[in-house]
Amino acid sequence: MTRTTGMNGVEVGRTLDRLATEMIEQLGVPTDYSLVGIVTGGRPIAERLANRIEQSTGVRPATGSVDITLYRDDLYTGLEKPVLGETLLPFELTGQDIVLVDDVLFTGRTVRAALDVLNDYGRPRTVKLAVLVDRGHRELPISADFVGRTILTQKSDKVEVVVVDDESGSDQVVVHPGGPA
Amino acid sequence: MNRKDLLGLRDVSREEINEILDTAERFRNVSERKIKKVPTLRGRTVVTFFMENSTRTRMSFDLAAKRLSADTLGFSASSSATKKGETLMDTARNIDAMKPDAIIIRHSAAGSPHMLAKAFPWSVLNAGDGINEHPSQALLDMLTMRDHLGSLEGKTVAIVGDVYHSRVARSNIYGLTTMGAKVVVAGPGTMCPPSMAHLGVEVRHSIDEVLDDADVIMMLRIQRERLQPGMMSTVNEYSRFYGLDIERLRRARPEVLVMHPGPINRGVEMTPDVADGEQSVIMEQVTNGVAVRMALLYLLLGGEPMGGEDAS
Amino acid sequence: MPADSIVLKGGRVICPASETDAIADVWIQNGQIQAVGSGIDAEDAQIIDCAGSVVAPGFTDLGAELCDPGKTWREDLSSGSEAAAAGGFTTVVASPRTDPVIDTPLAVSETLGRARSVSGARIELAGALTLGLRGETMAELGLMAEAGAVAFSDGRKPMMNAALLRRSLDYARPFGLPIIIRPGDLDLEGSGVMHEGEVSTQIGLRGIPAAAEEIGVGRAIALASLTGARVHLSQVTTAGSVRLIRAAQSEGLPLTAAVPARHLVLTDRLVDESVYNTATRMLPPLRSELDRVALVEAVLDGTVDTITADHVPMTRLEKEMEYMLAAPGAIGLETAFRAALTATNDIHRTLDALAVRPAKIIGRTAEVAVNGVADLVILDLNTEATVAGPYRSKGHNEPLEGVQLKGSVRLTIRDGCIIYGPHGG
Repeated sequence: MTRTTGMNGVEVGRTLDRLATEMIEQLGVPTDYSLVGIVTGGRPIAERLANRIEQSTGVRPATGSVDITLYRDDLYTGLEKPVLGETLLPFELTGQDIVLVDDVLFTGRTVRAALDVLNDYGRPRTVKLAVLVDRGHRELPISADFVGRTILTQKSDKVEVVVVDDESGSDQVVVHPGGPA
Repeated sequence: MNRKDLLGLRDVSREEINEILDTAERFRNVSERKIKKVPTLRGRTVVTFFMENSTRTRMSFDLAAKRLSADTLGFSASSSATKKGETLMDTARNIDAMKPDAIIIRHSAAGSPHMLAKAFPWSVLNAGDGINEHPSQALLDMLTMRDHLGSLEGKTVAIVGDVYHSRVARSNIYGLTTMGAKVVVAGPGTMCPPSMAHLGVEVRHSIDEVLDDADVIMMLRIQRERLQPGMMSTVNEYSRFYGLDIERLRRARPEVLVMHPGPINRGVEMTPDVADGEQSVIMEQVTNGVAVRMALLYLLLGGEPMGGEDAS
Repeated sequence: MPADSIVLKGGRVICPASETDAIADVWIQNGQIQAVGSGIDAEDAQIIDCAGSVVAPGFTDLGAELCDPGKTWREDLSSGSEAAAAGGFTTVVASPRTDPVIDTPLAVSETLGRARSVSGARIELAGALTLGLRGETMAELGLMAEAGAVAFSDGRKPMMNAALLRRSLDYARPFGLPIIIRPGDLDLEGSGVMHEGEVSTQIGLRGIPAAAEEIGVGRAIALASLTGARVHLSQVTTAGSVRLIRAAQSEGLPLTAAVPARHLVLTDRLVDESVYNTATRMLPPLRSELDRVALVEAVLDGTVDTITADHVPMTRLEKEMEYMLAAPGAIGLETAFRAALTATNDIHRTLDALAVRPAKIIGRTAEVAVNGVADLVILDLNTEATVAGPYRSKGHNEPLEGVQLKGSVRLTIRDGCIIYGPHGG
């Protein structure tokens, strides 16, 4: 099994640039779609993509966020409650084209939950998915339309996206190895 | 918050109260959307067990549970079981056999929620036990106060009325003092005796004495139907010495909040123009009620996913 | 009763009546104490080694509720007698608060007849002051005395009509029996379920103010003084009551009083700490720490003459209720001595209050003396144990459960027979 190392700040910057370019090419005018970051990791990624799209086209797409905590499909047992994040959708969803944005695509369950959240707010015309990192091991039939980088991981590894500062190039993606295969 | 039950605010920490209020703010959004429902407690069973009459609180809890997608079941005082002389424990055992996840109980006997919480594995939420506590009411009151005042630390809250026999007052006193607020109480000598000082509040003797420094004035309902003989003279005398009217309200700070747990005896505790006036946040209290109760059900019944990891 | 011959060897014999406190042997035969001294050697006698233990007169309780006839699921004469023996009591004066109330000479003799066959403590009876304990019509006090009652009692229901109470005292006086009264005021007690004070304010339960008991004490003092009757206050629990009694006694009034043993150890804070445990609900209620301290002082200086077990058994079902619905009452026969010793730390005062003075109130003598009735108890003063079941009483409502207490009852002998202990009973 090959283990990939992560991405440093320069690599992250370049990947985001490329993603933004792809999105501009395929999605058209930024006023036609909105970027919705999945709390917590997807929000800063959505912000960075929105910035780049604005730099290139002069138009900034609307942004929002969805928190999926209340929609998770895992079974609950007592003890610690995850802190609820904020779902902020300051635009009408029905008839809109939405791009869900997340930092890491893994089993696909987070995206499934995010789709349910959107559904309870309205009926988007289309929903696409953009992710910085696709690490495989899908458990549901979900795939991203825009992928920054695909990395091979063990299921037990932990992939952490550290967002610090867009300008200074200190963002990074770190892969923490899990137990033996 | 890491507890099975919410029986009162006496032993709830500042961190827990903040967690509950912050969570309640999130749930307010759910009630403002078109689809006022989240699937979080899907398939869980929540029983409301109201041995005392109350439409509003019961509806508020029922709605909270339903908006979390839980299944709800209601027992009330007129249920035939209690009329046939079945004890509370027997009724609870019957309910237990249906494997509920949480019971929301209102009962005239202080200590009944505690008794059930000790004996059964499901979560118990106290919706009012005798004259002891009514924690969800105090929490929604504090959320309302926090919305307007920012923080509760150092604020002065005046509670006026039959404080001694009010579970709303008791829970508010416990919660507010934990959050660093100063609580002053006033009422007739029978309803606001010096022994109230045992709860850490300042006892004053007429409503006029609380108007100057209060950030919040909370008026309590006079429950004529529950008063023992000799507790007060007439409603007229009560409103003269302890009622809130526009004149008195003018003497308080202009930004003072006027609150009431409801239902209001218009003309007794406060005049209609005060109840419907600018400083009154009574309707907000009601809205916040559902959000707070959703937060409580979520915090007591929700939890860490069994897998433990963030399965994205 | 079989005529055992027993020698209690080498115990510390304490007899408050004769001011004895010395190591001695005691020889019992035919239900009587035959000899007290050193080096006793009796033929064919059962020898019980009492070295390190105290040998004392057995205790007497005035007013335990034995619930028989009528509510025998809570207790009956037999189980009550056994429970008493386990607590070191050789005589129990049963309360007339039964169902039906013991308010006629026939009821007295019938119950005493059944009581003769118990194998634990001796059971005596107090007859009700009024028919049905309703506080309206006086019962046949004289005939009940003739039938064998050793006292009269209000069955814990204070007679609110002072004129009627005065007449009852006047009428009872010539029969020479003590009149046992619970000092209280039913109106002021109202719907209270615990002591009115800091704790009741904090945990939202309705309270019974100390004043309710003090009003009752005041009334009893005034009427005892007026009538000259021998009044015994069955439960005294507040500092205020103690002050009133002290003043009355200093003026020579022959008023006697009892404090429940558990009130020397427990306070109202227990209702809070136990989270509304209904075993803590009783009447009169557990009071504040200030009251508790005053009660211990009162026992030590003799203002309160006697200590009672204040035994009111209830079944689990009757206590498995919301606090305000649970029947008030706690069992106490089996733990009274331990509670009293732990609180006072004074074995002489404890024995005086549990054995000597209560016996005197019903005209008996509690002593370790030659030719006296062999009602004795062997006690260990130095053991320490946590109160726990199983209890001999049918009731399980013991608020002292889980509390560590000093002392224990090793053996109880009544009429020369062992009624409790490893050697027999």
